[in-house]
Amino acid sequence: MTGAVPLLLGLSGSWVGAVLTVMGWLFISYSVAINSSFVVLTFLAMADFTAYRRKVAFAAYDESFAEPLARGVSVLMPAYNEEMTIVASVQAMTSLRYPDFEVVVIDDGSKDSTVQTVVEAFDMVEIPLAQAPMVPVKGEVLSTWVSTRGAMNLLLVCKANGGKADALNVGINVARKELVCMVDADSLLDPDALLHVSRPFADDPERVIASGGVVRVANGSTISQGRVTEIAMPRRWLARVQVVEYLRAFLIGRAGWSAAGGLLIISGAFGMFRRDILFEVGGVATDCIGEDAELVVRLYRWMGDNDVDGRIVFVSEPVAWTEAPETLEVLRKQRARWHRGLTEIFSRHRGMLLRPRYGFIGMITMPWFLLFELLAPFVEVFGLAYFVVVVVLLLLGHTGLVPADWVSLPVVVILLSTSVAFSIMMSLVALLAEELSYRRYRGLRSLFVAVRAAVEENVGYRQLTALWRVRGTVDALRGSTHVWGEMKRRGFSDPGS
Amino acid sequence: MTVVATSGFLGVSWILLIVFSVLAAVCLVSLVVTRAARDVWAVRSEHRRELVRRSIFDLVMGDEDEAAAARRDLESTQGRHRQRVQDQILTMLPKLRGDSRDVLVTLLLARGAERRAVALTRSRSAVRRCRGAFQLGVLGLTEHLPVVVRLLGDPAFLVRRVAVRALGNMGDPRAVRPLLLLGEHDHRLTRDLVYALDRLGAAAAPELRTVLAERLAAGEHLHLDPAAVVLGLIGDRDAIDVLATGLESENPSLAQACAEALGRISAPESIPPLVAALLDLRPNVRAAAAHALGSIGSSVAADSLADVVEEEEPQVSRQAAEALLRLTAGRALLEASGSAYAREALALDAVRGGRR
Repeated sequence: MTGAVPLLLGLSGSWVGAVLTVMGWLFISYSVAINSSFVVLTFLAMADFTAYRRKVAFAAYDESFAEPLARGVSVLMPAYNEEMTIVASVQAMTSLRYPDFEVVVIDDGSKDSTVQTVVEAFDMVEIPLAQAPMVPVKGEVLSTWVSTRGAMNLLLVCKANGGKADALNVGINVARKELVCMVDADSLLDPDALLHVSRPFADDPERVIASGGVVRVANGSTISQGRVTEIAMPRRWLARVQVVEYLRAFLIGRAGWSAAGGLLIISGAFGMFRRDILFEVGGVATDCIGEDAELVVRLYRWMGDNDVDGRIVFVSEPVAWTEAPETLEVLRKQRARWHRGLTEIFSRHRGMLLRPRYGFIGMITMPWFLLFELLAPFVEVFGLAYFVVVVVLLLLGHTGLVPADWVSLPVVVILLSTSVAFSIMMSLVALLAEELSYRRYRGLRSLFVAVRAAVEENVGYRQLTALWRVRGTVDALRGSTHVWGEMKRRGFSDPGS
Repeated sequence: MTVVATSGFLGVSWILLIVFSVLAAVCLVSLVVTRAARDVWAVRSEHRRELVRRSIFDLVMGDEDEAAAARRDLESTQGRHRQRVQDQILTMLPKLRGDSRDVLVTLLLARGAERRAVALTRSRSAVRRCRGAFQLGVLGLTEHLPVVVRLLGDPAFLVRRVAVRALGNMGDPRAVRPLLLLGEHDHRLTRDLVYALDRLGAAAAPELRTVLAERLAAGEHLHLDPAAVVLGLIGDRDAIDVLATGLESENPSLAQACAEALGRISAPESIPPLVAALLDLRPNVRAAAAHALGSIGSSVAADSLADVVEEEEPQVSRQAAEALLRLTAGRALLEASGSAYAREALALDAVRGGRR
């Protein structure tokens, strides 16, 4: 992620040498820029953690559990062909701790027996639920159901197939509470997730329009009844590397940006929004891969266009767990999709770039994301190609086919190690931040697993993800009409930043 | 030139490489040390806590002999352990009431807790000032109220927050005014203010009413929500007039909080102002007024609510339909209404009825 860039060179007066030098300097500058911005973000995030640590150290901080100010929350759960898992996920959602909430399952025209399963499992009856005509929707609503169990706070909406975003829009219209929480069907929530993420709304009801929390990788942990019960590191290397990647992205990336006041992305795995504001902006976009990230950018745009003094807040509590891909094939699709989503957002909202009207987001966050997030994989792949060229030249130099002094081995090695050392250091800083703040993982064993992952992600993982992300951008630019038919995809919750 | 460039690369890279590696090594060592130390420490401290917890339990719940033995145990502690015992008792205090609390407070005061707490509030460390405020609060030392009130203006946010909560624990209604005036500055303390004012309870009501009325009269409508919310939680009937005035506040969240409070108090006197609020321009105020009228449950408001069911703002229609269900005269009006929200409310009610 941080540009495995700078490689190289010592040279003669030949033009090959000159080209290599210029490119080398470009890599170096890019690398220095991206790395220093990371250092700044880290310091900002650190300030956040110290505050958090103090709160924790001080026992009396959270003695009250009663929240008379808690606003009602509708949790939206889009579902498509999920008869196997739907009952467990719904049960986990309905047993969250919160004074006033409902769960809205939106079946997006499943072809299996998802609807029947839910109806039977939760004793549901058909009821004509009113739908606000506020957000335009594609798929027609076929029937609406309410569970007769408990507080009757479980709703089911059956609609004609229209995609995940369309399902969310229907959910926004049907939802009966002031706040809407969008959750990926496959993310596991902490029992207190709603309490944590709704707090900013209670604190500052006039200005806070959206909030999000930290997402963790659940692989390796023990999961029972839709809950993460025992936290552990996964055994497989691919999952292991992603645990560290998420930690770093959320602890340093998100927390740092949030502290700076320019948080751009709320993970699709868990975001909370004011329903009336969603009405204003017309719900989530149905023609976009990363509809959740696009929504946040659109909210910023809406605030800028209408001079609304709003806040989008990041809660540093870990609230949701997600299952990271365990195979390269699935990971490839995920990363390509995320990057494609990011590209689409930038092409759609490029008008916000460098416009003072959009404040910190337009002037700093978006340009940063463009330079160091959208373009980073390109630079990385370029660096990779460059490295290959250099090694080839080096070998040729040995055989005497080209002058031996075109490139020098020590320089190549040092620049490469510097880049790797930096990335390992950033991962360790993130691990340390986690250790000093949330302390979710226990035991020395899991620590060594994490450290090992921080090292091994530099060999193969980074390069592969860079290639896939480049592919995602290329797809977006070509505008290939790839249909994301199946719904059980995760939204664009890019942990990278 | 190229030679210079090359050596520049090399030099900078060497330095960076060394810096990064050293930092990484430092991180690694601190990681291992903290993780290992924490695991060991967690086991030991849990064991110690358990012993103290048992003594405290004997002291408050046990018979005379047990209590005396436990008191001896707790009083005989020395040095760092003594400090830990005191901290543990202090964290338990907010959860206790009546005699048990008094026994522990007496024990702590006998050991000089008051002096230490006051000294802590003057510390340079923000965390220590927090401890001081918290301790004065749970010990209920109202004579030190001015000390904690002073901490409301502390430069550290966390100290202000703890001071707000401490004033709630202290239980002295003189804290109401400083608390409400503080709320004007910092919206992040809204929830803490509600906690604190609610904990002061009915004794706080007169001052809450006075401050709210003063501010409304002066035209300063910001950040008074906690006052309105708590008057509702207390169920203070004398506050109806001032809350009714607050319904017309230009601050929408205060107007909403006033409507919700009137709903919680549920007195018929508030029907006329709430019916008037059904015509408010702000949907959140209309919705809250409709909900409040449902809580009061008087059929006087039925016709006005039925009009609102037909309006276009979804949240308002739904609240009005649900409110009508709770009114004797409401059902007929809902059945006559063509609104989708009326149908929804009736259908939901039928299911609920079937379950009963």
